[in-house]
Order: sequence, then structure tokens, then C-alpha cells
Amino acid sequence: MARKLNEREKRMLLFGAASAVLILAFTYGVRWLDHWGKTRKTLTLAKSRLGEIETDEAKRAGLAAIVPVFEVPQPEDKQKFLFRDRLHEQLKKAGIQTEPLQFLATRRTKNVAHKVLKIKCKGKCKFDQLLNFLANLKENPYLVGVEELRIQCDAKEPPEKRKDKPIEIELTVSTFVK
Amino acid sequence: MSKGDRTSHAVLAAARDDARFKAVEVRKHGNVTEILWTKSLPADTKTWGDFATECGFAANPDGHDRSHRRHAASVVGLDPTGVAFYRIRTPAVAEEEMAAIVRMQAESLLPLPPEQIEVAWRTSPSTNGDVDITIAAARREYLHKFAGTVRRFRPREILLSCEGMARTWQNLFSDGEQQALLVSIGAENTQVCLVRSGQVTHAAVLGTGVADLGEREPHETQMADLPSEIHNPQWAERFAQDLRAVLTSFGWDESSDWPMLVLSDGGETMERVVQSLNLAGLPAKVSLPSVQSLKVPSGFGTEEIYDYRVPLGLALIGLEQPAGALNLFEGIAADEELQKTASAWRSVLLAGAVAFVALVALILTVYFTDVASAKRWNALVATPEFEAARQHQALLKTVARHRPDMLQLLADISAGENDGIVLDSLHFKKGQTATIAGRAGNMEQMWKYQTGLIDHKNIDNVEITNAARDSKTKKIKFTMVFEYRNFSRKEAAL
Repeated sequence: MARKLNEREKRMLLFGAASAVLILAFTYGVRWLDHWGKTRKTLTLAKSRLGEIETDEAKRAGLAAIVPVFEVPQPEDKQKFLFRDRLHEQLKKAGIQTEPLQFLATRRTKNVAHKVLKIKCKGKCKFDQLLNFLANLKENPYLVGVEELRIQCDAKEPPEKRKDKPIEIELTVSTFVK
Repeated sequence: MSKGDRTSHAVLAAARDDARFKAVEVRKHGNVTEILWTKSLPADTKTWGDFATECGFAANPDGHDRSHRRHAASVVGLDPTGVAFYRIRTPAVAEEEMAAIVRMQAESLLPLPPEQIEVAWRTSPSTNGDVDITIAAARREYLHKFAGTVRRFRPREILLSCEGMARTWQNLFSDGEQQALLVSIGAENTQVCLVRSGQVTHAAVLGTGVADLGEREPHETQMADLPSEIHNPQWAERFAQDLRAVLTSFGWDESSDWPMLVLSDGGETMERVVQSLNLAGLPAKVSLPSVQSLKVPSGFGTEEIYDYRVPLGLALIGLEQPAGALNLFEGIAADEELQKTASAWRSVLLAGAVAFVALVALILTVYFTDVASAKRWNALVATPEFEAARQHQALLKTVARHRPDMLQLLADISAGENDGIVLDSLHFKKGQTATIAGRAGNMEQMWKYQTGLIDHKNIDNVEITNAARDSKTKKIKFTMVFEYRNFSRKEAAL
């Protein structure tokens, strides 16, 4: 028949059990906490990447107003002609007479993943035609932005007669190439 | 009877006596003791709980007391049927030693293990330096059960009923005697007590009551209904024999200075009982109550005093709160207090355990939510569609950041105060300040135009770099430079 434990033996047993629980808790608990920490880091990273996608409707609408269309950049040999042809088409549609479009040297810029190709053009047009061209320019799916614009009116003409007189323009626009 | 006003000096006492629950509320104003009301219920058809309700101690459905009697302390009497009394004589010693002696004596006298019994004792002076000790003992289980039964009365004290009877005799029956052998013949049994100065020094209960005088069942018998004659002649003989046996155990004899008094309501029954005892050689006398020292409700007389002698005495003890009462419930109350403390600790431990389990559950929930979310979101982020969408949107944002709105620029430089201003040229280039050249009618117009540009939110740092009057046209030719949004910063240039 089993003997009943005395108080000292009960205390020893309790202490042993508590120690065993603590050892197990320390061993597996630390591992578990490490695992949880890594999980939370992964989760934070995933949240951050998910946050890169804009979900706010107003912001998405604002972005679409500035960049209504945009094609993923192609290699330079392809992109430069696509961009030039579309730009030429837009100039022609606006009725702007230009000198031949001139490619500038492709260059890499800080903080931008793609290389930048620019096209420079000079021409003459009426002010209304210029406005029309600028209004439709963002429909070019290869355009990044206007890098330079110079507008020169004939200073000798009085203001009331300028409307029908051509102005000189010098425009540089850019695109991304892969 | 109508209930009177209750004050902080009022005490309600309840006891089971003569097969009925009886209660009385007594109030003390200075030297005047007043009986406010009395109540009784038959004990065979009602319970202590019913009686508590009848006395105004209501209980909620959950069993918790919610007494309306906030100001009346209550005292409950324990029927001495289940209590054994002993009387011992010991040398006068210190109280601690006396307690040890009593404990030893009680253990030797009682047929139960010490842990099953509860003992109360008190001393009374004797001769030759010795002390007489009255010991009352009862089963602890019996006392626990009784305390639970009368809990709804929320008793301040639970006293022995015979102590109440002794106090009533001392205050209302006695003709100045300080000690007596009291015989209180009830319906079911008879209490025999040695009483000194209103305190019981020895007691016993005989299983014979006045119900045995007639042919009725005990529970049907009330004192008012008792037969005026003793129909059962053997009863008197047996009763005298039983009484003599008890008196012998008390050490009483005819020559002692403890007169034998039979408590009576003044009826003929007790007179005949006393006569039969006298015939049997026992020198008994009748002791009648008096209501002169009490303020009582109308119609309350000696019969009522006799009927309510037990709760009335308990109420008087409750009012006076004398020292040295035989309190068998002291240990029981301590036990209950310990149980309450243990229960409180158990509640705290239980609450702590529940809180710990809730905390663990919360941690596990958060952990598993994190794991599941990480798994789901990582899978989503890793899909090619998501990556393509992310890259496309990042590209759109880059383009938007590098795309100036030239129409807006033209609108901005034409807006505001520009009377008399004619612009001739504009030069915008990313990474540089924008330049405009034009003419103004006078200097004020030029400055006003400059101020208008400065006030514009998209335009900053407007400076006039050149301003000169044309000798032919007399107009001011000017050149201004300014920063347009963030496109004039160097890093804006591609």
C-alpha cells in the first residue's frame, strides 16, 4: 500500500514540478516567442507592401487625373520610336509645325528605376494650338512629363493682335526606357 | 398585534417552544421595557424560514437576506433538547487553566470525539475556594444545521432557550428569590433548570409534557387547551419519578436552598401538577408572572407572558447583553467566518485563474491571428498579379511626381492682379527657376503683379531680376524668376 507523502516530500515534489514547468516554459517559450517575433516581422513587411497599393478612391482618382494612361516602359530601341511617333501624331493633330524631333542622350537619374529618354522639338504655332496640344499631351501613354518649355511671343506686336500671330515654342519631353 | 416603532434599543427574539415558533420584539427606553409585538406560528406545518418571513425578514429569490428590520437586532433561541448540561466543581485557577480543565472534563464526560462537539461553559462561585462550572455541550453538526436554519433572522446571538426562560423568571416571575429550581412544563417536554441570578447553572429536559395529561397529540396541545384535571393518574407518578431522577443527578434534595418552582400562567392545570408533585413528596410551588414591570400591548396579561416566556427572556438578554452567556455558537461563528474568508480567497483565486486563462486565450488568439494573417497576406503579396499591380502603381506615382501640369502653370501666371501686364515669354525647365518676361504700364502694376504671383500657392520666391523703362513705349520691361511647385528643385530634373 502506498505511503502518504509528508509535508517536506510534498514541498519537494511541488518545487520539482514547478521547476520542470519553468524549464519547459523557458526552453519552448523562448523559441515560440522568436517564432512569433519573426511572424510579426513578416506580417509587418506584408502589410507595408500591401500599403503600397493605393486603395483610397479619391487618391486613385487624383492619380488617374494626372496620369490617365501609361504603358510599361519598353527597351530603348522600341520605346523611343513609340514615344516619338505618338508625340509627332499629337503635334500634328494640334496643328503645330515643328522642326524634326531631336532625341537627346539617354541618361540614368537618381531615385528613378528607369533610364530617361528626352525628345526636343522647336516649332511655331498659335497660342490656342499650344494650349490644345498641352491639354492632350497626357494622353500619350509613353510620356513621363514636360522637362522644358519655352514660349516666345513677338514683343513688337501689340497684345490685341497677338491672338492670330504665331508664337515660337521650344519643348522637351521625357519618357522612361527599360 | 401591531408593530410599534423600532429603535436601536429594540431586540427581536425568536424561539421554538411548545411546538410553536414564537417571536417577540422588545424595546427599552431608559428604565422602561416595552413589548412591541408578538407572533407565533405552528412548528409542525411551518418552518423557520416561513416564520422569518412572518417576522419581516424577507429573502430574495437567490436566497440572500434583505431584511426590512434594519434597526432591530435579533436573538434566536436554541431548543436545549439537543444540548447536554454538566456541572463540575474545580479549584479556582486561572482562566486558561480552567479552560483546559473544562476541555478535559468535557471530553471525558461526552460520548463523542472532541472535534464533533462544541462546548460552552461558565463559572459560578462556590465554597472553600472552589468554583462550580456549568458546561453545555452539543454536536457541532447539530449547531451548524441550526445556525443555517435560522440564518434568515441574521441573529446577533444564538442562545439557549432555557437561558431565556431563566431570565424571564428572574425578571417577571421571581418574588425576590435569587436562585431556584425551575420546572417549566411544556406541551411536549419539561425543562428543569437550576437558576441562579437569572442564569442557568444546570439543566435537563424530560420527555414528558402536559400533552400526556390528556388524550391529545402533543402538537395539538396548547397551554390554553390543557385539561383542568389529570385524566391519566399514572402520568403524575411517572412524571414525579422522572423529575426526582433528574433532581438527584443535579445533587438537589429537599433540604437544599433551591426552592422548586413550577412556572405557571395561573391556570388550574399547573396547580394540579404542583399538588400531584407535593403528594409525591416533592415540595413544588407555583410561580406566577407579573406584567407590572413591563409596558405591554393592550390585552397582554400573565397568560401571554407565560406563553412567550422563552423569547421574552431571550429579548431581555439581548437588550442587556450580560457577560458570561453560554454561547455554544462562538466556535460555529468563527468557523463560518473562516469559511467566509476561505470563500473570499477562493473567489480571488478563481478570478485570478479565470483572468489568467483569459490572458492565455487572448495571447493565443493574437498569436494564431498573426500566423494566419501572415500566411494569407504573404501568399497574396507573393502573387504575380499583386507584384505587377504594385509595380504599375509605383510607376504611375513616379510619373505623377515628375509630370508638371503646364496648362496649370500658364493659368497660374495669368491669374490675379495683372492689369496693364503683357507677358512676352515664358521659360520653364525642371530643376531651375521659371522665368517670365513682359511689360507693365508702370512700376506699381509690376509690383502688384509680383504680389499676385507671391500669393499663389504653387509659386514661391518670386523675384524681379530686371526692370527698365523702354524709352520708346515708356513702359516698364521686366523679367521675373520664381519657383514652381517642387519642379524647380534640382532633384526634380530627369
